[in-house]
Amino acid sequence: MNSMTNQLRAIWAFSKREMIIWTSYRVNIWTWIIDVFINTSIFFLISLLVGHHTMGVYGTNYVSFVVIGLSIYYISYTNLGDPFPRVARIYWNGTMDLYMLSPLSYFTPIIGVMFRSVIDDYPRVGLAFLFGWLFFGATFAFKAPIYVLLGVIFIGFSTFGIGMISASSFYLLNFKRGSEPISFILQDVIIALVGGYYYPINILPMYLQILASFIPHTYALDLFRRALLPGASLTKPVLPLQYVLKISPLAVDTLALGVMTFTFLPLGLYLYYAGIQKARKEGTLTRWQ
Amino acid sequence: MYAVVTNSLTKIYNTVPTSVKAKVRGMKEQGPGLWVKNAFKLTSRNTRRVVAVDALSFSVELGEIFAIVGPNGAGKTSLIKMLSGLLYPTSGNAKVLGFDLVKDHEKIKDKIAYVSTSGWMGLEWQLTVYENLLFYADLLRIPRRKAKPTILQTMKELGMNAYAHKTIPQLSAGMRQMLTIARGIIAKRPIIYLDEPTTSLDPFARKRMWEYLLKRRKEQTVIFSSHDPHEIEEYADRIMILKNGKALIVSTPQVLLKEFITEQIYQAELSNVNLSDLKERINVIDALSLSDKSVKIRFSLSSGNLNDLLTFLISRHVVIHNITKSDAQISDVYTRFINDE
Repeated sequence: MNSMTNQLRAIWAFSKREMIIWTSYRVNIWTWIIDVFINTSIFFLISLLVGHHTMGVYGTNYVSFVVIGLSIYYISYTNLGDPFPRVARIYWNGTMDLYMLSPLSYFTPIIGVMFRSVIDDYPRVGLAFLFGWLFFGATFAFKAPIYVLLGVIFIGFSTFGIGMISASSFYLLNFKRGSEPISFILQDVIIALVGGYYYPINILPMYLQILASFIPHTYALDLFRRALLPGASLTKPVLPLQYVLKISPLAVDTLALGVMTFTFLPLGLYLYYAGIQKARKEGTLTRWQ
Repeated sequence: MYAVVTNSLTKIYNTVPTSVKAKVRGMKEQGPGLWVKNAFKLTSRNTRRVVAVDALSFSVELGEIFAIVGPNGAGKTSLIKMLSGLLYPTSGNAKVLGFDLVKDHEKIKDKIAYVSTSGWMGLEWQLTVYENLLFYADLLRIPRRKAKPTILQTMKELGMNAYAHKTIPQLSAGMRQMLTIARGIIAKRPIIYLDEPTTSLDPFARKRMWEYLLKRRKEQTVIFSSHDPHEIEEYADRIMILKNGKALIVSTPQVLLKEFITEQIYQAELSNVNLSDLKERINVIDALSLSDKSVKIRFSLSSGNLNDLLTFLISRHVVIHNITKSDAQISDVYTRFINDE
């Protein structure tokens, strides 16, 4: 308990530090708001082209559809994309020595340093909903709150787990330069193509839909769109796994997200730990200075 | 009384001189703060296997100030990183305050502090000096009620009060280094490793740092590396000379000077001289070429041989600008060991 309190205290210290740094650049807040506004506007303009064409089981409002896509994108961008560059930053800045010698768990510094992205990216979700609703005619319902809550927890932890797998490559595979292939292949290739941020994945060829079945984004997007979009179906299957399991699509989404969370999160944490142990043995844990 | 390092741990323990033991008397606990037995560390640098630490065995008494010296690449940083648990030894054993370096490395975290050579790079650049120290106090689990007075006291003693509310880019290189040191010492760990801590510090700041450490020597064992012979001679209880990861000797500065510099030391500035010729005749400790035929040298001679040397120099038409007697310095011992090996 004491140890957990200490880790939380350290995360709080990191959070305060990141908040001081983030707010010290006053122009940040404006670029940040404008960025979200422009992103939402672009999809509103695209929605004018789409008109009121059906989005299949997700209803007919493209802006609402895409606001949910953007929200998952923001969460994923932080949780999946941030751990690797944060580990690299800690290593190259020379602070890995200090963190490794402080009584923190191996993961606390990464979670702490990631807080910069959390304060930068997570509120974008709220802003995307707000701008979509205020200016571009997005509408939302709140049909299955328990599923939404579970979905938020599972997409947060499952993407963080994948992020930690990506971060572990820094030590485990010695990817010490600017990028690594795990997050590139997942985030920038597979998820970007088949994740379904901007279009329903049932328009893709079946082999890509099957590929999409192995990423949490597919289920999170399906869950949130069904649960939050007016006119979206709660019963009609659309994903390959929903056809196979023949239970409620929301239950299938939650189950799949749960399985992925309990697979990716422990795996990511374990691989990162293994990477640090390997680096201690090889002498590559901290930058030579 | 000096100890040439061997693999026998008992011999190493026995060689901690009584003079060192006397200095640390009065500590709550006594005995070895850490010991290392036959430790090797192999590291890979650009696919080349390097023996960074080679069959090292030594011990450091609680409360001792122990210096590690050696040329660049001798293995000083590797050794310090190994003793702090950042690297595991490839083989051999080491214990810090009774805890095994590998098996108990989580327990060691609360016992040690580490200040790296370029630790200033990892300072929080957008935060002030005070905020930096407060941030690290939180990470190091220093209770808030203790953290603030400790930070204020440390800043005062290290002469940093005037900089408390400045951010890192506003500080000089020396003050950044001082903050790095302050960050290492606020946790008040029983053992502190300082890897070339006084690089870029002016003599006053250097003195303040050592005064701070000396005041607390009954609470803290200091293991530091340095290239500054004056600092080593003045503050170290014992010195380990490292080369290619091997310890050439471990002893006190006094013993090193007495045992290894038995001859008279001279300094001279000469022109029209062939240094190779000269080296055949006298023991040149250090030479600085000023031009093709002009050199500033430091050398040792048995007493009575100066006349012979002068006769030799004159016969070779060497121009003697000056020649003076000098006190032996720890750098003379160091140079002799490094050159002889």
